[in-house]
Amino acid sequence: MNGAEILLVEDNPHDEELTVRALRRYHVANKIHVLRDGEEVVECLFGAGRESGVCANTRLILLDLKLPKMDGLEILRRCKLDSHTKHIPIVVLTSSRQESDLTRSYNLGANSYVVKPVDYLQFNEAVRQIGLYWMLLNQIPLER
Amino acid sequence: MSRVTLAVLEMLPDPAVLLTVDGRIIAANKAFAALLGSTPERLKEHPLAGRIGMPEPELREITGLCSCTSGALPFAAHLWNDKGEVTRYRLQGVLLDRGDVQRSATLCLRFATHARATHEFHQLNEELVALKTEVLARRKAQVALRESEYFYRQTLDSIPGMVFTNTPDGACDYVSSQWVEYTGVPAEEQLGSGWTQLLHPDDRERTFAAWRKAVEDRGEYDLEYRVRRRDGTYEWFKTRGRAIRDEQGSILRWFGTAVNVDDLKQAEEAIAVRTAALAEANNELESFSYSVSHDLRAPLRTIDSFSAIIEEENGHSLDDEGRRCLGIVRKAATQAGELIDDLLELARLGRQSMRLGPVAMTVLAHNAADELLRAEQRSTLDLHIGEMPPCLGDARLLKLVWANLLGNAIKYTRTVEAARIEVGWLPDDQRSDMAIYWVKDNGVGFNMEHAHQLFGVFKRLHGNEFEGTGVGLAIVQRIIGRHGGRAWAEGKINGGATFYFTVRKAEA
Repeated sequence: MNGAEILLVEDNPHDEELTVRALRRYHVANKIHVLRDGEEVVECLFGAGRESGVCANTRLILLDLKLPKMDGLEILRRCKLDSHTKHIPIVVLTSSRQESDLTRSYNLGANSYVVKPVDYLQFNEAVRQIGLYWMLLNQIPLER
Repeated sequence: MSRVTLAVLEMLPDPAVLLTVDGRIIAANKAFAALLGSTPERLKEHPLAGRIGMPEPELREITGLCSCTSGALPFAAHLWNDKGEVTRYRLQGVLLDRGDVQRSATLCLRFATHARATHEFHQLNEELVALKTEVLARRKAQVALRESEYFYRQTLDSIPGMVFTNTPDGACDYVSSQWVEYTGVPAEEQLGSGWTQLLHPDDRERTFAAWRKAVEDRGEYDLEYRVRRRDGTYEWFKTRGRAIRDEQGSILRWFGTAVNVDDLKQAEEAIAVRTAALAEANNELESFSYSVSHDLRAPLRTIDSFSAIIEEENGHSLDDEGRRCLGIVRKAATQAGELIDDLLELARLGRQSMRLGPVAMTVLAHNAADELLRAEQRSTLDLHIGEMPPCLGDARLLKLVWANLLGNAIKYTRTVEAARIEVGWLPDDQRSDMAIYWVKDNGVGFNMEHAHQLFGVFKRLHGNEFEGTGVGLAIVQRIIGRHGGRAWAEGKINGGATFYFTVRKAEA
């Protein structure tokens, strides 16, 4: 977990596998850490994980919205309110096209919102572009 | 004639005579008799009519004029004495007994003791004419006022609503008969602030406060409150008050009306209940479509993606049939995904609030076409978009209409050699405020017998040779319906199709 560059918050094992495969295929990140529900995220970012420096190393959070225990929007809210995590780019990667989810995500400070395509090729392309942009092009402050 | 009157008449130093309106002398004093060279007794036997000549007005008119005032009026007259000599006199007339002004009124004429010069006589005459005109005008005004008061009262008492007036400080000083009729409470008990006792206890404080505020702000007010009927039940009234002001703007009176809106109010409540139920149903639909969009899409992605992974990683160990079957699985998954998206779109269209504004339809059609053609890459497609008038609508929704109609036109001309698509408009003969927009293609067309099915969800007139979910035209229909317009189509097999829709034109 130490030094994970991408935190993937995803409860669906199939989507998790597809995302990780795509990220690896395009070599956008070496270290991917998967969190499967809200509690794991809290533990990782605000609990014990904080001591291990996970916040400092994480360069991107891919966040699903529909999650067990605590939904994605709540995780988003907490991350953007906390001074240790608020600079980490959060890309909402979800199946939901709901206008309300979009609005609320942006209101809570999401950096990007991407609807997971159903089509395999489109899905891969989406993950590739997200990875390239946020991991290679985008700059985030070092001091956090 | 009373003895007092006769005594007073006799005591007058000036000549004076009591006479009826038709000139019969009732009594005359000695001075008057002397004036005519006669005696009071003798005078009584002769009517004065022949002896007294009024310059302009007749005796009747003098009587009429006198009847309009309680004081004495000055007149001028000439008088013939017994010797036949004529003298001009100034005289004052007072009506003693009104009786019938035209017949039996009694008039007292008092003559000035000295004759006046002729010019004064004429001056008096002019004054008299002016006076007569003024009195007549005043009488006319009085009659008009009485009539208009009667008219207003009749009006106030016959309109279905109720009427009241208040003094500038807010105290009620009039309630129309309907109030009394409705409440069963006499008008005098409702005056002042008595009317507040008839309000529903729950509305009393609120209404009185709002009313006091309106009076203090010197503004207008619109209130709704319940009023107690004579049978003790309460019904809702809508009250509206306006201040009547003088030329300086100060309030002369408040004029208010109240209309029974109980039926309306009950209907409103029923609507509110139904709206709440609808909102709840809508929420359920919302969470349903949320589940659909999330929970159905995820397994479809799994099906498609893992089939693709088999293809990629184990493709070499599959034979052609295996790869074909896998292809079918993937295509079905993709189609189901599109279908879900389209259905969600359709559901969303019904709920979304409309943002109306002027929409440049020509630009919008161009934008939609450009996006479609970017993906199309067909060199043979001839697309012509004519100039069209702007309409009043929701640009986001109308763009979907163009996208769907143009998308269909592009799709169904793919098998045609020289594909041509035209876009234009027509004035609507049935409704001058609407414009008919159309998209015409020379594609595969359709059988008009099935035209009515075109706009239904999942209704497709073509098989799998053309891709599609069968929701596009349903979306068009719903959007145009929400704009208050119509959508229809004309076509024939292998003869192209034209799709029409109407939207309200934007104000020029």
